[in-house]
Amino acid sequence: MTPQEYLQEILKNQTLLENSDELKALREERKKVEELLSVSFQKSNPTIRYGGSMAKGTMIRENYDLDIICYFNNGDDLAGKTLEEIYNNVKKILETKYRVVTKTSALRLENKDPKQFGVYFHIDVTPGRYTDDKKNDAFLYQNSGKEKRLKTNLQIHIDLVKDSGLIDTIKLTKLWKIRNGLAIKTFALELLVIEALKKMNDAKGVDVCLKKLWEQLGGNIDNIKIEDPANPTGNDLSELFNSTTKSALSSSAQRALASIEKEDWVNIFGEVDSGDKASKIQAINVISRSSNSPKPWNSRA
Amino acid sequence: MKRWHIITPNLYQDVEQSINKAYPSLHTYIEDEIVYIRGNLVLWALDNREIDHYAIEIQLPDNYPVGVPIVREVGGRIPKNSDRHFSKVGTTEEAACLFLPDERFKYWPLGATIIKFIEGPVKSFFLWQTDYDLNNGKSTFGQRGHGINGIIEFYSEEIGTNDKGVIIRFLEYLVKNEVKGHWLCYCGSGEKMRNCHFDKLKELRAKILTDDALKSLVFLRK
Repeated sequence: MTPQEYLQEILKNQTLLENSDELKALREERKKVEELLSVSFQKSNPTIRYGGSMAKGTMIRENYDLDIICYFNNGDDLAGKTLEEIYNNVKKILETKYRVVTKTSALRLENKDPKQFGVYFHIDVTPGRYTDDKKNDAFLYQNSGKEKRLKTNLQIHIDLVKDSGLIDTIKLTKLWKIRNGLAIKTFALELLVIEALKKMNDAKGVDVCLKKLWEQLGGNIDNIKIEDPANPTGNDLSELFNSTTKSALSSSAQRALASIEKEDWVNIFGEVDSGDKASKIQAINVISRSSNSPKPWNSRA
Repeated sequence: MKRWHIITPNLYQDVEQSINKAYPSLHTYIEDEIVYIRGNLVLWALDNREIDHYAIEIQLPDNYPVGVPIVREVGGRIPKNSDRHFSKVGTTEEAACLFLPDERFKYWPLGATIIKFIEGPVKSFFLWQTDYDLNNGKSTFGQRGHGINGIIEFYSEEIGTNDKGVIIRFLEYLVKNEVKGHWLCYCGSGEKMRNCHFDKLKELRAKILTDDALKSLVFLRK
């Protein structure tokens, strides 16, 4: 199998098919979330739509979140006068049905069932308010960092990724990020791929694109600058792309390049078929028999 | 109070370098003066096939390397409940209960490295989780009973009885600053300890940390 063929197989495995259980479950839950918000904020009639990887076409099975934006009209104070109030009021409504974990601007939904405590639904809701009647730019509340308000434009983000010609490279880079435990935000990673691979696209071969990307990250990372296309001068991304993140990206990229040198792509993305259930159980049995494994305990009776 | 990584920078450097070398997909961070190891933990079969992987976080405690690190699954994949051996740390966080603290000497004795911790208890815990999912709620690794039952199980394996009263007497001796051979044996035989089970007591006093034994004693007396 050539690198290109291998990577296409990996991409195929990472694609969530339209009729997959995961997507069906996400869509069903999305309906419930949308209904809950629409009914609760009926008078405001907020815009509720997909954002994130679902809208950009970069969703991967390995780690998929459904991002839903809930933007209120400019001048509408019913959901809250300030962005913070909107954020907290949306949270309050979602808490009637879900356990809500606050993120910087988004609200992550988890199952309320105690037996499922800590399991993600893979749904994040981001409340905000349009900056004007054109409904393009929006302000989001930020509950951490220096700035409490972030100006953004969902469509600009979606278009940038969709028009980049690098969808497959971005998907594989997201998988590489997860497999390497890299702490960079997906949004920043997408910008990084697009910036580092100017004048390139998937048609040149995803293996070629990835190699070029890793060469840039491994040897030239300090010269790569990323900026938020929705607000280039206003949103400071330096914290998303700080020296710790750069160092981890750079060393992981160098390791990936070393693997490519040995024609060992499997070391980067894993086996195409990682084995069936029976073979995994057997492998675990072998380990449990051959090692002095601790038995987990729990202080709760 | 100065944190361990400031007091012993060489130890911190050793942790960071050994993690980089042994686990390139795990990374060391310092946040609010607390050391975390975060990233992707891959579970390999003995024939080097990948079995599974988890997004994890290991928090090194203020009294590291004496204190046992706190381990969390941060990928939102495992339900954080007692059946899956997670319990509350502080107010909201859920941490993995890797083993009964009293039997730490078997799996991560004092002086063992962070790599040994990940290779042993951490990997075993997550293999247990994968096994549990694949086997519909059972695991070939076995598990300690919850709460007091797990404590009794462990001590009955060590001293040969599951009599709660005997185990409590044993633990009372175990946590004392000093024990004497002429004291009556904890087993209830009426013999002096030096003529009965003194060796076992001395052996476990050398292995089990007093704080851990004391916590179990309090648990059993409840």
